[in-house]
Amino acid sequence: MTPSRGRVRAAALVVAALACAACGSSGHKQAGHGRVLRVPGSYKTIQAAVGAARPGDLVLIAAGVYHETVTVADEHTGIVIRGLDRNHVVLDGQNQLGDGLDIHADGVAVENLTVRRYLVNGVVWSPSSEYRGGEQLQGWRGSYITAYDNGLYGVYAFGAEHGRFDHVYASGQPDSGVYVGDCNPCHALVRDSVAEHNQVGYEATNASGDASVLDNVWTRNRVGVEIDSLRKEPGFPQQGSTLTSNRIVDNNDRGAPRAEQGGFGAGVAVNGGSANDVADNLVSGHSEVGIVVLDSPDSAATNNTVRANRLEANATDLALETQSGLSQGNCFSANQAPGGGLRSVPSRLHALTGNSCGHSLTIGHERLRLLPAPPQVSYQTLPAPPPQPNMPAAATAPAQPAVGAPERETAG
Amino acid sequence: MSRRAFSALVLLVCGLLAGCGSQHPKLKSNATGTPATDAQVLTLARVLESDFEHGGARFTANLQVNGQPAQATGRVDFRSGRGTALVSPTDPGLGPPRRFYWTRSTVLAQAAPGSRQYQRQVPDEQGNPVHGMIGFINLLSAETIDNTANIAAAAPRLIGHTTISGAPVDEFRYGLSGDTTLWILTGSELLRQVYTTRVTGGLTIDLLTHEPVKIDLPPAAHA
Repeated sequence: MTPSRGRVRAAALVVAALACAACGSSGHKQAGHGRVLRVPGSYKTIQAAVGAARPGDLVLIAAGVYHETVTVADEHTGIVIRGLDRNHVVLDGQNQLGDGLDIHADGVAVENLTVRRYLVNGVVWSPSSEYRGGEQLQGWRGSYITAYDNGLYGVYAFGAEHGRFDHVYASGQPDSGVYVGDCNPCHALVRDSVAEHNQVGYEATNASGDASVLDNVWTRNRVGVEIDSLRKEPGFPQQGSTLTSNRIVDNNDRGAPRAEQGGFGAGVAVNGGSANDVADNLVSGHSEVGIVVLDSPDSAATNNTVRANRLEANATDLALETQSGLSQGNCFSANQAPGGGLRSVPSRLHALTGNSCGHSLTIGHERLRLLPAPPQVSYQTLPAPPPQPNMPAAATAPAQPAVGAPERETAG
Repeated sequence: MSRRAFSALVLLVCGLLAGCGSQHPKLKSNATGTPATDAQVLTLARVLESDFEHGGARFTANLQVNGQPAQATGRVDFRSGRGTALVSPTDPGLGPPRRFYWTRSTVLAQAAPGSRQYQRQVPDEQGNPVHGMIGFINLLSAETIDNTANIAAAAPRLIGHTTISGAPVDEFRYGLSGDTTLWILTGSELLRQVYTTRVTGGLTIDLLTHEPVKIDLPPAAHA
């Protein structure tokens, strides 16, 4: 970023912050400065309203089906794009358009609408290419979004810091329903969301530092949660995320579309990466494995902690697979199964690693027997999901741009 | 998921194949053309998926083996991950052709020219240029669309319009240093040719057709 561009960007963020100066964690105080740009009342298209929006403005969309790709260019910082009715404000790509909402500006929040049938992503936050070279998008939020039957990801934050997904519902994506990637530190929160019938419910690739996934439901996907450390994507290596108090159940859905080389029947896969904390989750009903920590093709999984999870009815509850045959500082402790009958690979994983977090001990080279991936299912033919809950007071709630630290604010 | 098709191809080829950094004499390394539009990025994102949907391809390749130019002619089934190629030194005096088969996990190399015996080899994409070529071919299709955000981050550029064997193509170049060039059949979202300077001496793969292909592995060699 050039200095002049940096000053412009900083000034825009200050304006957005001032516009939302009265927005506290309750989210119901008057914003003060922002205008309401109505679609289609004042603007025929969402794109037209976004193009006219200034920091602090609310683009408020009436019920209808909109066949648009909406691009939020980097100068439109600190705006809020909101549907009046989550289930009846629908952006529909008709399996012809690329992304639903393609956001390159800092501080943009998207709320209370549905995105479906786009060839790539439902909603994506990522820096514009001009910003690449290390600078990340600052401030993002997706709340009460329904994303279904899109060709890659449902909702997606890539190269973006300080953000939050809450009350998202994502289904029918042949890759991930919810994705956070390429950030360090992310300062990201994913909570109170649901993903089902995707290849992966929640995926985080190279998402490091202050990345919390809390109180979500990841169910009936092919794989529930995947935390990846991959060299071929920016932000490698991954370290330091938390996965806590999620309900991760029955991720063996043969009816979900699949991705290239995608897995099947796993609740949580920590694929490389370091110092991730997987704790206090319910992980149940998986035909392959409940929670597995393994080396990625690019990096060893080290110093990850899997603790105090409740595991039920998984073919194997816990697994640790390393190329070295050593625990590499990964540890499993205080996890519980009904009747105390934890099944692990290698067996006695608790006894081997429970008291050796951060230390490397011999565990051997025992491997899970991988299940073949069931045949592909076209994401373009899956049925629509049921209606999802609306955000409170969508018609009257003041605009709350994603400035400051959205990951710290109370969700909904 | 663990594979991001072209973005993986562009970002990783240096890791997959040996000898990063060499230059093809016919190409300039500096950026030319115009930045790809959103529509063109979407086209790039769909290319590998389109290749997959068509099933397979016949191809030719130009590569370097032991510092000498070589050519390969073969077929690949993108859906099964199987393929076969006959690799020949450009200079026939340097040796006879040798046939290879592959699956997603194994390379089968003809034990000797003309032999019906094949040796099973562990893929070594960095150390063996034929394996490197196979690895590259395996990246030329994908079951899902590619990630437009990753492609955009690699600064794709439209270099221009030309023809290959009479077929109109759009030429794109991208990658962190602009060293992978793609020729996409105009209006079809199908890859015709790809060239990278990240491989010693350069690697060109020309997909002559896009059609279903069935590869039968040599007897007793199923992997």
